[in-house]
Amino acid sequence: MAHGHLDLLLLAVLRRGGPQHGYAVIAGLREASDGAFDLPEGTVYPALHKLERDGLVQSEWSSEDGRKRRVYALTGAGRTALVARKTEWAMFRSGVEAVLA
Amino acid sequence: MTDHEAIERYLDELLVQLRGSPRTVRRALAEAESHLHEAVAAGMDADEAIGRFGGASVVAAASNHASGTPLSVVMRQLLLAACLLSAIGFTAIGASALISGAMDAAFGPSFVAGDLPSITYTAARCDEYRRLAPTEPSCRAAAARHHTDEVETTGIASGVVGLAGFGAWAFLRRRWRATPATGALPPALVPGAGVAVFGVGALALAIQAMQSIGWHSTSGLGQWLSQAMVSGAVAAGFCVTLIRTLRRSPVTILE
Repeated sequence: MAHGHLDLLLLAVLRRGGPQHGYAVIAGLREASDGAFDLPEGTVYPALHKLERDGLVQSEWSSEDGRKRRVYALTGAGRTALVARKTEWAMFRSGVEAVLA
Repeated sequence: MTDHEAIERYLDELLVQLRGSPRTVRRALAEAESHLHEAVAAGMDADEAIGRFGGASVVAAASNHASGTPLSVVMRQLLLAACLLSAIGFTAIGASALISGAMDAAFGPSFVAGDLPSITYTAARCDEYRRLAPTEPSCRAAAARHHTDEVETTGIASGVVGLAGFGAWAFLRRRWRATPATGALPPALVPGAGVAVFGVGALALAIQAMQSIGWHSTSGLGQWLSQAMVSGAVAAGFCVTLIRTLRRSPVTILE
């Protein structure tokens, strides 16, 4: 279920937490969803790479405490895409709720 | 096993399953390593961190799917491989024609492409051969001359086509060099296909040559021998390349 909306979730985590490395993005996703979206963590990185190829996030290596990490940040296009996808999600959710009511 | 060893072993498993450009593979591996060490530093043991990260096959499949090689790149590489194999094939036919020419000079046209003694000719056919090779003393000798000339000229023409094929292959390879296509095709594909195609060809031609000997005649033996020799040499060359390629390939056996 989460995989179908992973792009939206990752963009939202990056907007909420600002630039952060992959481990923190995954931890942020788990915490914000209260453990509901407990994906194999290694499958999140390819999704981040795809967002980067699409120009929605950017990344660069950083070195902290002698440890090398790749830090991801939302781009302007990513912020715009997030707004559009949130609107789509809200419409989808209200449609489903209307049917289920 | 220490946490460090468990992570190293997992990264080895992941490496051999990742596909894509070297940069994609290095990045996926570096991020996996960074993530796992981060998790261990946060208090998890390595097995738990690896379990949460996902099996190597699952993670590699997700990465390979996301960084999948575009169809256009795969098609270009297949075209290049086909171009190279065709060029080698046509050039090999040209080389066998040169050997046939040498056999012609040494043993005469009957040895290269003469008909078996059991073959007979109609008067019209005989006249045709005598017209094409007027200096030959007999109808059979004229037929052998005609067949041998045909073997040599078509072979040389094939050789020219093969050299043009090499030119086309070099041109296309240079033109598409900027394509990030590394890893689109297995490195052993071309040498493997070469061993199979030319090896089977050499075997079939050698059997054909032995059949001529079985009929107690050397008529026409030369063309099969020359083609079998060249095909066998090309297959041996591909075999050496295949072994070298397989020995150079990334480690696939985990310690």
